[in-house]
Amino acid sequence: MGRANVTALIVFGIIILVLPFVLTSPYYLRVMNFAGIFSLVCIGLSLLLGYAGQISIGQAGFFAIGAYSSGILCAAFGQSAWVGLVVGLVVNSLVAFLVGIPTLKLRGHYLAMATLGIGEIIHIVALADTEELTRLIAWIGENAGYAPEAVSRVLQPYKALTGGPSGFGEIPTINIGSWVVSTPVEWFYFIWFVVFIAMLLSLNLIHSRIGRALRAIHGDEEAARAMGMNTLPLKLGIFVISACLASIAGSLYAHYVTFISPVTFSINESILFVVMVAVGGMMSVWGALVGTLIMTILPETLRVFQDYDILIYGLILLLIMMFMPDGVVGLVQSFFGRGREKTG
Amino acid sequence: MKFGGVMALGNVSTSVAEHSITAIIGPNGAGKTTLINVISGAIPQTKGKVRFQGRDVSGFAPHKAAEAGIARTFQNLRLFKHMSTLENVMVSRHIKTTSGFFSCALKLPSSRSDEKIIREKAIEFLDFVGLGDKANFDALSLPFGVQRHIEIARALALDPKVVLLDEPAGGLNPQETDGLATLIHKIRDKGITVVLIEHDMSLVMNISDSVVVLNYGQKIAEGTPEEIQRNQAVIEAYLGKETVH
Amino acid sequence: MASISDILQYVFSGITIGAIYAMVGLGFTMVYNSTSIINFAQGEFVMLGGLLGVTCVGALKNMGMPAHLAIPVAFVFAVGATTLAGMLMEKVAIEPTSRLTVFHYGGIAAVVAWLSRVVLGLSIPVCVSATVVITAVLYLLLRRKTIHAMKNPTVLQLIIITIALSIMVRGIAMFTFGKDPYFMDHFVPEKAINVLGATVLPQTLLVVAVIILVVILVGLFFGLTLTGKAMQACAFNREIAKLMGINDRWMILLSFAMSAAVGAVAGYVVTPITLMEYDRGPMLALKGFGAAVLGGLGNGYGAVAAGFILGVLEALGAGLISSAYKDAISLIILLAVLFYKPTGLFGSAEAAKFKEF
Repeated sequence: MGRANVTALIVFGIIILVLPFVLTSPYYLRVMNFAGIFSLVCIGLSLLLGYAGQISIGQAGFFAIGAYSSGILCAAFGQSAWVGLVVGLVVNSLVAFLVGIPTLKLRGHYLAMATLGIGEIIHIVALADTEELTRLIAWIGENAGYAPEAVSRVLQPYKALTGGPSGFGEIPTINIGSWVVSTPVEWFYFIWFVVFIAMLLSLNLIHSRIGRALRAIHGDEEAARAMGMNTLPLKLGIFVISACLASIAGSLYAHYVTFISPVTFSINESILFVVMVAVGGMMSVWGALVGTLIMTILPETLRVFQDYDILIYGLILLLIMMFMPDGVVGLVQSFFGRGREKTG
Repeated sequence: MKFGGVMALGNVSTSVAEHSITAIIGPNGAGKTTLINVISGAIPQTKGKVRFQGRDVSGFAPHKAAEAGIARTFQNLRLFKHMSTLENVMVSRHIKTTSGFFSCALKLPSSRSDEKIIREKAIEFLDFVGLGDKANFDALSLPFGVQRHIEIARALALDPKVVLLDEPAGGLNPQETDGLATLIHKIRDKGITVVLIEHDMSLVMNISDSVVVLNYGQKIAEGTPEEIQRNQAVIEAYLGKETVH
Repeated sequence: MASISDILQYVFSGITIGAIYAMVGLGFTMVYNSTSIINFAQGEFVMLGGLLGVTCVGALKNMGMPAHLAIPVAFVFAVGATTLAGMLMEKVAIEPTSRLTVFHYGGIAAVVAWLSRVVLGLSIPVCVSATVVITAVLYLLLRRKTIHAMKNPTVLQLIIITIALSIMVRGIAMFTFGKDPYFMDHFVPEKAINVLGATVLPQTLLVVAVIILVVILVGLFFGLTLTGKAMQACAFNREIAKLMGINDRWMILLSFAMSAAVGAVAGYVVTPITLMEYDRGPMLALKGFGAAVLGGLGNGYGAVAAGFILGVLEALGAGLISSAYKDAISLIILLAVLFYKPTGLFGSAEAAKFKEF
């Protein structure tokens, strides 16, 4: 993957190991933990945006499915964290598959709108009152020919399913063998270990034939097809990967904060993820990391702008897209003269 | 081949002999690029068939046509942005390898050896067109003439049976055109059939074994370069009915 | 089982909401036809039309103007202001010019005025003088400078830019108008009309009448006027249109202006029935896009028809199945259209092929 990336990874690893000794306050660690979780989503998004050239403004939906899967299965049904994680991944992969197949054949705007739509649908389902959900399931059951008593018997566990607008809590934390992840420091290492693995695997993928194929598709899709690439499975694959990374992030999030509610998973979050990737630099997974760090830490330091945040995000996004489309990382790369010669 | 109401290609029927160099010529708008697009699968044909090595490849998607052994270059040069010369050529070796998402992400031995083989082969093809020393430059930063050669190398890297060159001499000076002629001969000598669209008549007459002439979507003549030069219909198509030399 | 009058009731409310979707869809189509861009900020124009209208009507009534005067005047103001906003968006971000134009200075003045009045709460004389002074100073400083915005942005960049614009407009609206919904009195007396057991509000009829009028005017514009035909030429092939002497930048600006106006009109006339709040935009944009796609992307009349169809389907779904999932229902329809018939009901696949994006 090139010496630069290997060096960067090693430095990254060392920083992870050392950081908790430098940032001892639990508050800073908490900020970094959130940054880590979000950067997982952004790494996936950056693969999709920067390498495949496809846009998704619905990552918060995949994030939500991961969180709710882990949350529901662990809190309501007492399953282990792994079950929640895997179920989240399976559901998300399925959704990404079903959304991706028809829309990835079309041009960029269609996927953008489709992901926006899916994200919103997921948000609505999470938000909906349990009464309505119950009524809906009852309606489906009756029209499908089931007797009302059987339907209501099945519905009992669903009563507390999503908790509606207020969400639900008491999600247990993760335990690996006998180690229970509890303190901020332990969470830090756990989360950032996952991020490190994600970066490693992503960089491997980018510098392989698959990554090159994706970059070719992004560069010129018709020429890529003429050179033998079947573009749909490739684009689909990377879309599913981005959904899965968001899913893992969601599961981590649920176990970390132990309480989830639909307000965290709206279109604003999806847009925020896009802003993070754009700010850091769409053309590089390091950009995803840098962008997430900037956009997670900056609002904390700029607390005074609390109400303006939606406006400022828009302004930042606009300015970056107009004047600095390769983001911070792109700026640094051109500063050091590497420019576009060696990509990745 | 109809686009809306315009008959871009009507009743063009021709066959190309293996291991030959065939040129397709004709005034602008005659349908030459459309013909290449139909053969390579970029555009599906509305009527008729494309037969290749005994198989019916009509309506094949571009990537399937490439797999079947049909490679092409583009008139307006469609190199991949943000990739080096070598990487542009390496892309074509994609279909010769099979390591998938998992083995690439985990950098399993199969993906590593695939990568090595791809790289070696790509360098071979770059050397073949004489660009071995330009491997690591950003492809779009190189001079136009070099870019044309990169496109050809990229097409050749598919190990095709036939390569369709769309105006490869466009924008080249006489020296570069001579180099191109040599290269095309080299390609033919490797056993690859060449079909080229060209406007540069001296190049066409010089290297082609056979020439097909299109005008307004119809084939108006076919034969050796000498026969075409004497053909009345061809002269009229290019110069108009009034002038007779 | 629902009765005829119930179903009719749903249809009537569906027509009301469908009118907005129709207008948003029409707006999308106009911009898409001339620029091949999907303007994600399309929904915000509707929101601005409604909120600006309410504010203006309220202000005029406070100044003593009678309702039958205030409503048309506020209409002109709301639609005009929104149109200017649309044009500003286009000039600043979509096809940025290298020199600052009158639009930029207008925008700067508006921003300064907004900041001083809404954010800082300064008095009117101070605001006005601050606006004039700051704009003049900036003009003197910047009139020779060139902006080095990215040339030839990619599709991806443009999509993100319009998303950014929609966020910004939403943020400004949130700050100016707050988060609560705004009410506006009906323009016509609120006596419900009885049809087969269902009630229709006169305002609904007014909405439909206005929308039909807009569609006719737009159709006449494109069909009969020279400018309209020039816009169509530009949409078909920009380079050739330029060679024919058509000022393509003006055409694109005009298409943005028209799409903004159309959205604002819809927002204004519909607010008495459906109320309006600052974040209605994205959902409207999504469903309006659904209407545009359902109608065949690029087909203006199709988008309008599809908008009404979508509205009625949504209302029927909300009434017959579940109202909490009303949005989900129309989104599912949208996705179904995107998945199975992206050329829409009335679109042509061939026309779609020739578009760059």
